[in-house]
Amino acid sequence: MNWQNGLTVVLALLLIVVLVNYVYFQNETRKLFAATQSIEKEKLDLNAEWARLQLEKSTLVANNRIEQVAREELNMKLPEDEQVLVIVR
Amino acid sequence: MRKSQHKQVNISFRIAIVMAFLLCCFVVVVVRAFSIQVKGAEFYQSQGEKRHVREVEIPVSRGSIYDRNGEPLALSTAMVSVGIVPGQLLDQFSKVEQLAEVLELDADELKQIITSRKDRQFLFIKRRITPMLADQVKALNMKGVEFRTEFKRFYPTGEILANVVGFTDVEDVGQEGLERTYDNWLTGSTGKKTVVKDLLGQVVADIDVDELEPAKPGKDLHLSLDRRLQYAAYLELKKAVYKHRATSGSAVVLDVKTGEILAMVNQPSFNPNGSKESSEGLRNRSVTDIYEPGSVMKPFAVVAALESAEYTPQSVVNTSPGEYKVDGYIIHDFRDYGELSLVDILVKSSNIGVAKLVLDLGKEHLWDVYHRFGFGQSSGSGFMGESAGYLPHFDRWRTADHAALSRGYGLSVTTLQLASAYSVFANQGRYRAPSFIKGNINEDKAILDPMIASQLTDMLSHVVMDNEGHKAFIPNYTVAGKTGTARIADKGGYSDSYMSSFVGFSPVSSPRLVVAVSINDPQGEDYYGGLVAAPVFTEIMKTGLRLLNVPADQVSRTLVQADAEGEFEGADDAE
Repeated sequence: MNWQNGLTVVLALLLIVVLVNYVYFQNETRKLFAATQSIEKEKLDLNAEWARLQLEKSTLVANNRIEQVAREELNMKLPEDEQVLVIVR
Repeated sequence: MRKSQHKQVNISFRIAIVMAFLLCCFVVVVVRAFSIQVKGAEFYQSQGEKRHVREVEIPVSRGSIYDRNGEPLALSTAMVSVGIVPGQLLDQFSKVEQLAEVLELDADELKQIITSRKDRQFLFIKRRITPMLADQVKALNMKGVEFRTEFKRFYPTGEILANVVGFTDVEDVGQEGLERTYDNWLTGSTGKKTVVKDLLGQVVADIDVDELEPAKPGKDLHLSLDRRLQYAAYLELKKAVYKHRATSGSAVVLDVKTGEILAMVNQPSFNPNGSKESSEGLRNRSVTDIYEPGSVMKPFAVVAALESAEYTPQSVVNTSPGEYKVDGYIIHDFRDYGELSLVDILVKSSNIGVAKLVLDLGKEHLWDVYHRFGFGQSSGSGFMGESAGYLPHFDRWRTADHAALSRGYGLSVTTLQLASAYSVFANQGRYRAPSFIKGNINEDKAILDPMIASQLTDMLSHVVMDNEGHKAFIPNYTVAGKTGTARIADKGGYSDSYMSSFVGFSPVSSPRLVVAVSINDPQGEDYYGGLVAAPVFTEIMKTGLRLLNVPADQVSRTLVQADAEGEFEGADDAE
């Protein structure tokens, strides 16, 4: 009889430990899930920003813009055929 | 006895009690079931939906398209689409007005939609708004408004590449051009996962660690096109089409060594970022539009003559008196050229010369030459909607057809086919199917004796180099090529409109680029290929040679000597 009582007590204690653990990890899970959610969100935002920057870059380096800046602001032009010197080794 | 009788009464009494009790239970169950199933259905259904375990889609982006140097040509950016669950909005019309204001929608119309479609589970009210605008909508904190990530496609190069790259529809499916051709490659597969959602439709927990179906984003596509060359070519073509008031035009630049398409431009074009209304500009004319090529076919007739071994480039053909009757039709030359060598037949573009050459040979032979160079068949570029052109079978040729085919009438070709066919001369007699994909080099096959290929290269270089002031002349480089000016067939005959073309390659000593230009129906005074198409060829070729750092092979005018250390030994003019 005695050893049976002992076992019950041990099992009861074990159960309490397990339940406390369960609650603890449940809480952990929630925290981690919240963290993944915010990271996912951040990833989406960063992706969106990357794409936006890519677009911005591609408009900045658009050939017609470069041509316009080179010709109008920097006063550059293509050399005439007569102005080209060919280097021969 | 009494005892047993008493017992019996007792038993039936007990049975009655138990039965009554069970009946009560049953009635309770039925009533409860009724109240849940029928009376409370709406309440429980909506409650259940609100704490739903749901499968949600994980949106994936479509692959980007880049040029050969990694410059973006088509990009997908994440946008937010706003949808509503109409049933949940019925009781918050005041907020609906705010919603309509933020989204720039008509409030009355939106309300009407909500009432008329209140049974719908979900419907989009505005698609692909910027994330910033979406945040404003989220700030309204409305029940029954949901957000989904969708992607919008941008084409940074705009009209320059519009009809080659194509575009996608509202569901992100490729509709035209390479977007359509490589749709499977570019499209990702949407993933799925199960989640628990709360009252506001926000995800509160992921159920599975593993996704039901993993999300696979679309793969990127790296094209063989060079954006810089594409831009230059587009500008030149557009200028020429505008200047000569032509209805359309195309130009193709091929890398001789790999068959890669470095540039492909068409006029008219359209803005792929705007509405696609002009159906005229949607076609990639370089591969879809076919036309009778005219004189640019003459080199292939000369190939047939050389292959017969009865002619050499120096063989002489008498073209006097500038008129030649075949099968009742009279073939004219520009003037009476007298005796012409094969080289001169090409230089002068003598109609009589080529006619006499091919009429001596079998019909089958000429057909075979054209067929080998890829005419009448798809070029193998894989572009969806590519035309195979038209080359009638020699069984159906009359003698007049035979003569007409020698100068490029009676068959139809695309500009890409012309470029590929000329690259055979430049590539030592080997045909290589053109490719739109960087590094995707198709296997080449020998279709022409390398000896004849080099003879043709030489002859075609005479066409440009012998003729001072030829519009295809490029300083410091040798150029080989041929002009074409073909009358455009109309109902029952030939009209007064022309197709002007020029196809050529450079440098002759070690060909690197093939450029084919065709300009449809120039309205100005000039319509000869040499005057309309050749200048476009020249400008595109010049830019191409410069961008690819192709060494000059004929330094004609000015020379600077550099010694081994790269020091200049002084410039002198060697006129």
